[in-house]
Amino acid sequence: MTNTPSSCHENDVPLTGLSVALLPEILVHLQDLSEKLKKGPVFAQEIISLRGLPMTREDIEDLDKHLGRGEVNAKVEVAGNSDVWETSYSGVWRVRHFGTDERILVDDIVIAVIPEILMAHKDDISASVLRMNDAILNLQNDEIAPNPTKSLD
Amino acid sequence: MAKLFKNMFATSESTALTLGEELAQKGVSRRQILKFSSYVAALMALPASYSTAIAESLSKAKRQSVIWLSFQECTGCTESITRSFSPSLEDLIFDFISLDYSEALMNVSGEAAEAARKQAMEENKGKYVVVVEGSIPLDKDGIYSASGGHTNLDVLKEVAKDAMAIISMGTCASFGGIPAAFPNPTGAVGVHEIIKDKPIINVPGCPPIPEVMTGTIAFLLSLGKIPELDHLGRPKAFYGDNIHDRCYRRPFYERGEFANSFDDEGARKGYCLFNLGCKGPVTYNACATIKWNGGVSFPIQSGHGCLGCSEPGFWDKGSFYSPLSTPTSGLGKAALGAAAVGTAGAVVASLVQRKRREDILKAAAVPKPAETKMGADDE
Amino acid sequence: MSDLLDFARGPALQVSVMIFIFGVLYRLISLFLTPKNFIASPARENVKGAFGAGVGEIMRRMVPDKEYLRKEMFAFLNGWAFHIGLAITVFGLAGHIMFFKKILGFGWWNLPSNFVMLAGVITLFSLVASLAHRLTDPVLHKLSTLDDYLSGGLTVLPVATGLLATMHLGLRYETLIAIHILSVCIFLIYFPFGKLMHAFLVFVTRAKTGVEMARKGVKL
Repeated sequence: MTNTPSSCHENDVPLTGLSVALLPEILVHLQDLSEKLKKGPVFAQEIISLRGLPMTREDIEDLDKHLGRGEVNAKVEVAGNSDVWETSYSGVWRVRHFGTDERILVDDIVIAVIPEILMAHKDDISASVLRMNDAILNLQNDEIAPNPTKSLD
Repeated sequence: MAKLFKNMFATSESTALTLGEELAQKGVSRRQILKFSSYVAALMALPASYSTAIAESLSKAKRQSVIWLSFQECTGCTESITRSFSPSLEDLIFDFISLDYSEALMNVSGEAAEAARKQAMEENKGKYVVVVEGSIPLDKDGIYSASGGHTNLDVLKEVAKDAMAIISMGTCASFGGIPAAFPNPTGAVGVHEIIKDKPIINVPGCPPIPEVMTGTIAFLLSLGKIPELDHLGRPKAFYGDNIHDRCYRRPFYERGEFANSFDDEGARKGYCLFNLGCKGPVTYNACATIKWNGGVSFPIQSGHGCLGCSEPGFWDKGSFYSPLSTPTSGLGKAALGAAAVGTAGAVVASLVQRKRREDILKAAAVPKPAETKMGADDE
Repeated sequence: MSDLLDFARGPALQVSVMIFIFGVLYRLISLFLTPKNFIASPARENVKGAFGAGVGEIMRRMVPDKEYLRKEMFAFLNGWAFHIGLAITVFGLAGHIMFFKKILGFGWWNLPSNFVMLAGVITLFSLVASLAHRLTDPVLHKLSTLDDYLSGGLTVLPVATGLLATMHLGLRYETLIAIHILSVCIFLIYFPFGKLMHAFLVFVTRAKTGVEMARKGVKL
């Protein structure tokens, strides 16, 4: 009697063909972005959520093979890791959020100049202004400057 | 965990700030909120582009006051939500709410706890969200379950009066659950049987999937409205598909490959569990897609059929192990009874017929002819 | 709508199975206990034995007579198609076998669900065709009674609803399966009291006819 794990039959059909079917949709969004940018600088992003599509792991790997890897590779360390990379097609990005347990929570294709998650938010920037100001003031007042940022805990 | 509780009950000094400001003070960046928002959008099957809007409205919102009521329950739902996986992201939900009252989680007790509830209700009149865990007994005016001298029924009515919305967390609060199982000695019912004038979101499950609970709360907070519900008041994003349609064992069902006992060849090969009473075809939940324990597995993947725990009355629908296509009530006796009556009836009827025939023959005084050879063999 | 399923799986099925068993046994047993008719005329000499005559007639009627073969080809092939299709769908689907197992105490091997579904589709078309044939053929139309249409219609219903349920078409699965079970209940209740009873009597009546004809010396 062998003990076959009951879950070994998952993903019986590895490739559904969705990966190739998605490429024309990405192209349409890329064309739109290109047209918009010809009129001047603008922030626009289109997101295709892969988790919302019935794609198997193999489908997504196949899609990434078609898209390839570009010049930018970024790691965002916020509430677990996030991987962001530009594909070989400039303007087509992959954004993948992990939970702390390394499970993929969000798996997106983002068509934008830069994905929003990489941009600094204006509120964060204005908070930074205050913090940096404090830091400089502290440096001037005290030789041993305390860390002006609040810790998480 | 320590951080979680600290976040949940840290309310008093920060009620005036927006969530964005408050979280910024704590070192939670806007990226983190954005990441959470795209997670919620993915969970709720919203268009991915919503995530920016959700993040914006979340950071502009005030902390949402939540009153968590525990009635006839086992605290399994609280256990489930506080053990939601990928904690750093989903725990953010506890940064968005101010859990002003929760018997299971709060430190204070007795009069002080009740005072906290009253204060939250007063300060957030018409704006707080009530989460109910457990069913409410109605028999004998609800005396079967009470705390602080007040029956669950009275507390629910009092708290619901000025609430913005109610979330019935778990099958007990949604449909009565195990306390309402036959013969339902306490007359237990779900929230919607009592409260008729407030929006109620049912989040059934025994317990519900943590992601389903946080997703529902996050949707309510960030979009400020009730998600689209099905005919049983459940968010369609999570309860829109039945387990059977999303089950990875479905191909075995189509091929007619079934496990017929929990230790046969079919069970080892991971075949469909329909014959072992799986209720997947009539159960609507997200187990087959979101799964449990951080996406590790769900009951069917672990080799046991679905019990249908997110459906009303799942506890009283016959054996968990009798297949869906079979009758729920004992047919054996009924069949035997019908067979006995049918046979007896037929015998009596033909005896009566024979008697009548003989009487007629006698009356007519026709001599009985010898039986012909041919007629004797058939019939 | 799961309350409808509870009703279907519970009281509806219980009552209809009871009526079915009662009705079938009542009709069969009272038929076999019916006193024999006197036959005043003597049998022809040198006729076949009763058993041989009965079995012979059963077999002979499996296929139409040669001279009618062409005219009856549709009814012949179509009849076989839906009877075999029905047998496959009713006795081949795993879910159905579970039902029989619960009542009879034993089960048997099931067929692949997709194959059963295909048989179901063929059965459905075939049954509808037979009803259409009954309505359009002038002679058959004249011969038909309400019983014929009821028997046909009540057989179509479970097949159609069963297919909808397996294909998840139209309504939610629990509603579809409840409607399917309820349609079976109606079928079961009507079964013993109409022409559907031929399922039990077809060979009995054919044999009886064969024996009678043999006794009279009819050459077939």
